[in-house]
Amino acid sequence: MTGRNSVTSSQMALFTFVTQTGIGVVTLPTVMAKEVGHDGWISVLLSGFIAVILSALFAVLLKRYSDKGIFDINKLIFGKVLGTVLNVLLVIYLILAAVRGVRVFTLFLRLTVLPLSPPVAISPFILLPSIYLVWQGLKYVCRFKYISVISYVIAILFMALMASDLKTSFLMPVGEAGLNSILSSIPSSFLAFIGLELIVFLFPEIIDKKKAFKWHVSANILSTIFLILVVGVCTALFGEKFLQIQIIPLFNMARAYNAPILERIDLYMISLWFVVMGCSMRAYMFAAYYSLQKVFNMKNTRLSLALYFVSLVLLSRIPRDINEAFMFLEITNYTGIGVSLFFVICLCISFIRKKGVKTR
Amino acid sequence: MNWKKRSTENTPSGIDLKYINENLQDCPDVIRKKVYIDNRQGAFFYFLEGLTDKDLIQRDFINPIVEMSLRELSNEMNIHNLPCNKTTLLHDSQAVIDSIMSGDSVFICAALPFAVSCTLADIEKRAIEEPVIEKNVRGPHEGFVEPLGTNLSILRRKIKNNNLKFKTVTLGVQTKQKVAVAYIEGIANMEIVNGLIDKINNIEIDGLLAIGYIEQSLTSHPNSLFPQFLATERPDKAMSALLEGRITILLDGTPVVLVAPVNFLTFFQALDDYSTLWIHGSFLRMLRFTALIVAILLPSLYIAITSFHYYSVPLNLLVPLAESRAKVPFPPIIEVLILEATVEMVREAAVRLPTYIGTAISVVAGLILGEAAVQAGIVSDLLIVIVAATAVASYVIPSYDMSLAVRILRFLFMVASSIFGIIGIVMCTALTLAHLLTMDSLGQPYFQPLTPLVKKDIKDTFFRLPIKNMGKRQEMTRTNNKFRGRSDDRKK
Repeated sequence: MTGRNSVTSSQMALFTFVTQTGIGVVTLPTVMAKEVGHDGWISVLLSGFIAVILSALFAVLLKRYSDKGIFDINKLIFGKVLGTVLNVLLVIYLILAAVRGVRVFTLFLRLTVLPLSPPVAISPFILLPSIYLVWQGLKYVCRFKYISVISYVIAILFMALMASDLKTSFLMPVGEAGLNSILSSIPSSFLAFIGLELIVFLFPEIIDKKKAFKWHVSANILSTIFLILVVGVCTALFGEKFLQIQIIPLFNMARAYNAPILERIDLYMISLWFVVMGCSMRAYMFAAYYSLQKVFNMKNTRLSLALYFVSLVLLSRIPRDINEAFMFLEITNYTGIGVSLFFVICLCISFIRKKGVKTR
Repeated sequence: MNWKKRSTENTPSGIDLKYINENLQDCPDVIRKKVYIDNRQGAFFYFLEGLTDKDLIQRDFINPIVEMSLRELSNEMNIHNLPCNKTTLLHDSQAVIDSIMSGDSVFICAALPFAVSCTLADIEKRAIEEPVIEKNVRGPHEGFVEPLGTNLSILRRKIKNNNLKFKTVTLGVQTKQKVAVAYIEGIANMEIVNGLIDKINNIEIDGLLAIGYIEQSLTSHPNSLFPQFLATERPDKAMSALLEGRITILLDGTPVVLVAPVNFLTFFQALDDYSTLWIHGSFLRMLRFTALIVAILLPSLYIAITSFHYYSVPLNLLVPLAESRAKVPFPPIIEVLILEATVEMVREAAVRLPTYIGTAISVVAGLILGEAAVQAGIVSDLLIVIVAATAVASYVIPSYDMSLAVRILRFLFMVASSIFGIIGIVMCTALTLAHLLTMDSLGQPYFQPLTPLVKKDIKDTFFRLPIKNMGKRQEMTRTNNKFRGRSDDRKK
């Protein structure tokens, strides 16, 4: 099978990694600083551990139903009617997650690079690569993520450049926030791992399914390491107090560096990260469009694609200001946690209702 | 000359002289010489003036035939014993006409059951010279020429191996031009070869003025800016492609051959990368990719920074830039478009000039024009430097087709950056890369080995490793003979 949506497990892992780390990482250090001060990295570590466990549970669920995706599994577990209703709800979640991506991307652009440009003009423009790639298929969406790896490499090099400015004392004493605070902050830090659930939707398109589990767990481990690195560096650079009053600490980190001769290189660093954010946004866009085709038998035509993206832009304008936009972001992220838990419930029920479960 | 009146008889084979003469009417370049066999049986020699060697025809074709009796001529063995390098028996009137039109000499006698065709061509052709737009320093200095036969012989001389195969196809309803598909059996993937030949066979066209007609008919992304076939006049490039398992397409009447499948990076490779030490080659390679980035991004970065992000300019540079810009009444995009368009026009005009020294002079002339524009307050000082650097950078790209793509892309980037600043550049880059990685060349991913990632092929991309480290052929050609320097595919 080598269709336009066919991908390998390693490509899917990159897809998951970029989806998880692309957008969430921009605000994560501030969120963590507000919740647990300088112990944010511990919370991220614990969330990463949970993400790995959840990935394993997803893998068990998918393995029980051979090569089926969640839309088929739901029908087998819950019956045709309830299964369809649940599928529709899942599609709504994916669309909202895609809308969130558009809104957040536009918002960050206004906050950083284009403060005066009207969002109505920016949104359609930033969607152009996504429209093209979603039209082409999952294979190309995943291939594009290889390009974004450059941004990660540069981001890590950039953090290495700032090593001399980091103060490890800002991270001490370890665990000062207390176990209760750290544990209660896990839902917030887990939001950065949202994206791990997409494999459950796209599983039928993976060619080498046997390797999927291994790669998916690897992606989550890699995400955990990267997120810990960013939270740790931001905390060590700004300190928890200063971090708490920021909105986009990752980009502020870029601004904090004074390059020789060039002086300011934050513009280029931020621009590079927008490539990763675009990839993250595109993952949900593709998943939602793919799900619409699966659940509603929608054909992949130019018209349907155009209507889909116009709807995304229009829906993304519903939150009226930055506060509403962040609230929308939070609601969608928590829904994502809910969706992940729903998959775990599906796994549990699958042991009771065994219709369609692979016997060997 | 009224041939129609005189020749109405058919030969025993069914070759219709009347039909032939009717079809050859108003073709004054066709010479029709009447002779008598055994001093009684009329017969005819047909050949094209200017395409045949008259002396050789007289000596090796006409004389031996005229000296034979009709009975001797009826014996096919005697015909095959004629001292011509290629003798063919024809049994069909249309085949006779086609043979004459392709430059063969044909003998027709009404009493014989066949016509005799003999190839004694003498075509006016230019000497083999180095291609003017594909120079190199340490490689051979020969280029392909227009006649297909000469080009095939050039390749055969370089690859003395019977595995080098040429499959010929005749294209052009009106022009009947020969197209040869060259590949090395045992290295090239036959599925790709046969697929390509099928596609070429399906081309329906009146005639092919240039090989670009074939390229446009075969390409799977006709609306793309980027070339999906590598066009070259260099036999060494064609040879290198063949050894790599690629396929070359040669068209009679043009010195340019097409190579496929190719990836994006192939357009930035040149023979000098391999004919010098690997460090030198890698340096040249990296220089070209730097030039690519400069050629696309520099003017758009200027526009983005001066229009939106002036704060990212170092302070020492910002002051002179502001002073220079203060004299210019236009916004940056107009300023850049004026100068870029001028340089492009000068460059296009330079192509028509007799020598490529003319090109250099013209570019310099363009810059002097630019200097005058600065004096007149139309453009800023810094922009002259930027446009000059951009023009030089675009000359560094070895492929003319790719260079054109880059020139057009540059304008798109400039417009996007004038509206959205650096985000315009980022989005255009993303869109370009997205397009590149969805493209293919003869079904093979165009952006391989970068995406999809083929680690072992990275050694010959932005740099190249020493020859001894490049034991394996590239994955892209889907060759079955994976190891270089071995006669068959042996696993390590």
